[in-house]
Amino acid sequence: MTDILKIKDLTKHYVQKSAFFKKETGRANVLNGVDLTIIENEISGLIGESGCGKSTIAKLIMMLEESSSGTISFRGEDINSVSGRGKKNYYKNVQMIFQDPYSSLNPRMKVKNIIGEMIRINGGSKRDALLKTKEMLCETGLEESAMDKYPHEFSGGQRQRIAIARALVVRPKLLIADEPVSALDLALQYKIIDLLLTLKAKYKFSILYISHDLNSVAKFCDNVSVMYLGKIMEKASADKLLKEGKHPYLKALIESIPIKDPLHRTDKRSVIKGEIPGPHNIPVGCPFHPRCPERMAVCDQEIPVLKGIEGDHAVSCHLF
Amino acid sequence: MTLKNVFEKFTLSYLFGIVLALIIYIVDINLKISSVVLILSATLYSCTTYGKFHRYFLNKDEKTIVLFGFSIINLTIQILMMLIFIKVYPIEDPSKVILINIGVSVFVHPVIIFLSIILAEKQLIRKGFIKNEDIPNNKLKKDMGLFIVILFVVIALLAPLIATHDPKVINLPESLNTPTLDHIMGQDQNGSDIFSRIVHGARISLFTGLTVVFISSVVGIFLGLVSGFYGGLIDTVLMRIVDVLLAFPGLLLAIAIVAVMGPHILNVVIALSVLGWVSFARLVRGQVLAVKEREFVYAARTSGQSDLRVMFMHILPNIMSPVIVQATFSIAGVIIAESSLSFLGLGAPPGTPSWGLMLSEGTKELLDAPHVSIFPGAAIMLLVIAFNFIGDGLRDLLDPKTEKK
Amino acid sequence: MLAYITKRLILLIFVLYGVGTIVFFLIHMIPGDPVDIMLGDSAVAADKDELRKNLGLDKPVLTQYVSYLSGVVRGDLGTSIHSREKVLDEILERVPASFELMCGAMFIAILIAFPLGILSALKPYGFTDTVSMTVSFIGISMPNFWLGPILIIIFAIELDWLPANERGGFFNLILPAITLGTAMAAMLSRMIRSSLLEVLGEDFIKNARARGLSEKKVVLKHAMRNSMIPVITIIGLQVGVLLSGAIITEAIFDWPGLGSLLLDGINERNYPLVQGCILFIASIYVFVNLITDIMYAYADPRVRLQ
Repeated sequence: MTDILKIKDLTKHYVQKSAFFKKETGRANVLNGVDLTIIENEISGLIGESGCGKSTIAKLIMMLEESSSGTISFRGEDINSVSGRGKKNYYKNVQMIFQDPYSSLNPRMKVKNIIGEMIRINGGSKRDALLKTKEMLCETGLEESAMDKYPHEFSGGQRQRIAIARALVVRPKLLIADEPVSALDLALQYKIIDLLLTLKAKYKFSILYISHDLNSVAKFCDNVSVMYLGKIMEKASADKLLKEGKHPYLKALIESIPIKDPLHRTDKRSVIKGEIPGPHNIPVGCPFHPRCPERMAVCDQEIPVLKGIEGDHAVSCHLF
Repeated sequence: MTLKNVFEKFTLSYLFGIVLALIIYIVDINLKISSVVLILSATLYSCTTYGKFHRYFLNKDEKTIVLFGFSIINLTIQILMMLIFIKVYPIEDPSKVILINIGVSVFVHPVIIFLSIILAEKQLIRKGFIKNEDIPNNKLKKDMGLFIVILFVVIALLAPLIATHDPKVINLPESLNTPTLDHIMGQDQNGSDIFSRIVHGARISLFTGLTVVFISSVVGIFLGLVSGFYGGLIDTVLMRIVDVLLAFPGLLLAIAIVAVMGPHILNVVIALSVLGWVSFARLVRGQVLAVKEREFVYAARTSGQSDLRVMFMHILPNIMSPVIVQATFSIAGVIIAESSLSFLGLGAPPGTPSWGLMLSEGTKELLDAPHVSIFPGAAIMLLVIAFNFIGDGLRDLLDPKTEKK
Repeated sequence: MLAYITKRLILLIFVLYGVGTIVFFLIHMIPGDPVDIMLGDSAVAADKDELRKNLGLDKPVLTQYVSYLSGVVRGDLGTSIHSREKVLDEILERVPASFELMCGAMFIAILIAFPLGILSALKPYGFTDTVSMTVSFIGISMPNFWLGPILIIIFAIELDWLPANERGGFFNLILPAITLGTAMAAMLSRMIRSSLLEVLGEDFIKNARARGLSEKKVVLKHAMRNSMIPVITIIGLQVGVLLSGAIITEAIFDWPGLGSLLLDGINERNYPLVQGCILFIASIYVFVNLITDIMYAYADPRVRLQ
């Protein structure tokens, strides 16, 4: 069990400045000290409501943006220190698939160039690129005739397959999947997840699976972290999390999953009150305290830290 | 409507005009009668041509009634045009009639055909016979413009072959002569052949238009891409420069630059390029900002390729359509600008067959010889209209709202 | 709103500084010795030295630059070469004529564009629409140095209705104003049409119609007010086109305005005058743009936030 990616105390804030005097006029604290570890060959889930900063983590890992503080290290090496060739090498090892398959493929490029480009960039020959593209298309369940088509000729599910093929053709060691199925039909969602699992078994890589759907994440992730307003609230192995979730936020999330049989419904379901506050005004103390049903006096004073309870189960709450 | 079709129709139209003129010349009938016959037959012919065009859109007989009304409008326009030509050239000998006819065929037919098609379509849409989307109106518009532009390009390339006289020969005794068979557009104040000068002038206009737009689009695209992609200091500095350059209204800065550098066509190119890149840079920058946040750009950036490659291979192809449209309109603008500068005596040096210069020299003789300024003016306008047509058509064709069809 | 205006004013100072710099360096773009070119080859050496001294061309470029800019700030645009008059005085003398021509052109443009644009938008694809849009397309493509002569041929020579040269009474203004205003009218009528059509498709118009308001009231009261915002901007931006178009129009009609002054300056190689004219015209344009932008921001609060 070695770590492939380790995030320590990562923060990210956006500062709005006035046009002329560069005076700060607003600040959005998107990430407020995130710790996250992805283990080799495991699928780590990351869930949270929209706006909690989970996509920002993906962008920071992919070096699309710079963090404000904290470190991200890949196999022990801080990614901020790599540049030039090292960066290219990093992208060979870490790839990402995006949420919207309709905008993640360049509409002016043929499929063979979209995928083949990855090989060419990493020094492969034209023949090599063509061969590997063909192979990858088959792996992802597409016809060979897809090579000469443009992205708009495919359906959403097929596009996501192309996106997966593009990411995996360089055989990365870590795949960041930012809500890869949330734009698709339910039936397709499981097919794409299945595909990811098959390919993972074959090529051996880790996945950071980002989603807002607790149910689906718990089903196929090895371990899951729950995020709220730029902080990790709880992390545990997937089955443990659903059954023995400790954090009031997580409990509320679990209870908000609709129950099929009305007879099993109880009136005691604690639905979370209020709306998630924006990153512009993070509550003092525990970020969840204004909405928490089990609020204590200490909650609006001190920020709780992520404490281990047993094994790999950790909670960030004053109750524990 | 393919370009080939339009080309065929125009060739037929020109040929018809020329053949008709020759027949009248050979028969040499009474001139007054001949001009009436000419008007009627030309109208009849153009009506049938329009009919062919219309049938292309319709294929159903009941709609021809609508078209009939437009044929009458065409007829009126045609007669008016003929009257204007007759006014400009008081008919004295048969060759004038030929001239009138050729003039009408070359300059007026395309415009009338086009107008009538548009009118008929609009009427048909209003009457509910066809839907707006059914009409390849913009494609036609674009092809129409393209046809005229290609015509001018061919004329410019083959100028020495097409020109009937040396454009620079001065023949003072024959100055300001009205059109004859030998000098089909007459002679200017130096006695030079206007037709030949116009043919050679096409070179200057197209050269300036294409060069300036080429230079400014290349520079503008590069700076706009860099500025939009990186943002930050580069962006701020560049946009401030753009602000300053845009503070000069229209031609003013170009006038200033050419005024100090002296009248030369290359100076015109420089002066117009100094301003030209600004609009391209602004357009490209805005487009980059919109495309930059799309996921395929993220994907490209995380594939390990260089920023330059991301800009040119991934972003640029996706923002090209508005740039092409802008370039087309810019060519029209540059042609007008060059003519304006030449008109003010700041563009092409005296003696050069530049349309603007010819026009400005012609306006001095406006009282005695209006033909000297009318022909170059018509040439400028036709070329500018052609480029504007292409731009208009392309803009609608490339508009993302209509792209789905 | 105040913050927006402050921001724009700061930008304005920057832009004016840039304009001044460009105009200053114009004289240094002259190939060869500017003094030789201004006075001609036959000039006496003493005259040349005097001019060089007057223009400060014997000093280092940086000193010239500073003294030019400080002069501009004090309203001193230098001295005209031959007449030895203050450049600013010569310019101000011509302003009324230019102003008259611009107002005339603007008036003509608005007079033509509004009825055409509104009629077109009321019945899109109708007969009026087709005709007016075709006319405006030709208007956009017609260079004013061709339109001017044609108007002269028709109305001054053939029909002899209107005078065509020099400034004078009301009738002398008509032809130049039409020449200058046509392009703007064409642009404006297209703009009015498309912006009205866009507004007419919106829900609050459907709502107004559903309430049973007459079509006239819907268009003139509800749609017009909302579609005027982009139109105002276009009018503001077109002032720049008018300013430079006026140079050509003034040349055609011998109109004694700023444009003619600039051209005279160019022909006499009177570079201080040329610099002064360009600086003056550009500054007017910058100020007009500023006013347009502020009006625009006032009418549409969303702009201020950008």
